[in-house]
Amino acid sequence: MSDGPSLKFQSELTKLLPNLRAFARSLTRSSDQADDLVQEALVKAWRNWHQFAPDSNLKAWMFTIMRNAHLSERRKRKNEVQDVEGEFASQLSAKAEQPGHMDLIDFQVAFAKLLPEHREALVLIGAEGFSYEEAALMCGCAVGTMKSRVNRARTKLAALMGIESAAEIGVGEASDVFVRATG
Amino acid sequence: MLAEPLMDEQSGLSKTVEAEIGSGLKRLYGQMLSEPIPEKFAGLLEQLAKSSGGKTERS
Repeated sequence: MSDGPSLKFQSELTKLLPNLRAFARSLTRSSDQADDLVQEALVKAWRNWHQFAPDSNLKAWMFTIMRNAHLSERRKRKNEVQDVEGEFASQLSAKAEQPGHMDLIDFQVAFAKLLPEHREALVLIGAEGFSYEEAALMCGCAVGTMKSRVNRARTKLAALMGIESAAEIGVGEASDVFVRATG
Repeated sequence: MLAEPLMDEQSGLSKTVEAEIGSGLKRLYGQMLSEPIPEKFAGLLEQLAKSSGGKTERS
């Protein structure tokens, strides 16, 4: 056996924990499942650290590991009916209100309703700031596919939140004019 | 009121809507990023370091 990962590897992983947890939450929509996923990914990373090229992007590498682990878990569980939207939405409810902005809970509920590949694309591009090329590589799809996923995700989000036209967004009173998806 | 909004040719959404979605996404993700990290993760990493045979670069 070769030497284990360096302390540097360990500290880099530690620094990435917030991002790993946030990405896992976006994938699973459940904090318990997310933490399980992060733990699994850390163990896998540790076992396969020698496959990581030191000058490449550790976050992209970890996200790819996590994404693959999540997909195989989802295949295993595909017969279980799960509704985690409610849980996802309730987790942040206590601290979500901010005046003058769109209602974060509405946004979160709509986000949770998106297709998994759309949530993933939005987060990688819109929140993590990966390039379309990087995200496509991580997700094993064409760059054009990644672009169209992001566009569809945005369109779907806007529709779910009832903000299909700019005129519906009032400055400073945005949360009042959004049509709630459920009556 | 508002001038005719610029539309994104790809998504068909106005720039205003795209910006609103972008900022909502960043706020949601930012909130997840700022959550405290449970102790168990540091523990797991320590455990993994030990199990790799004490060959880490400890000083």
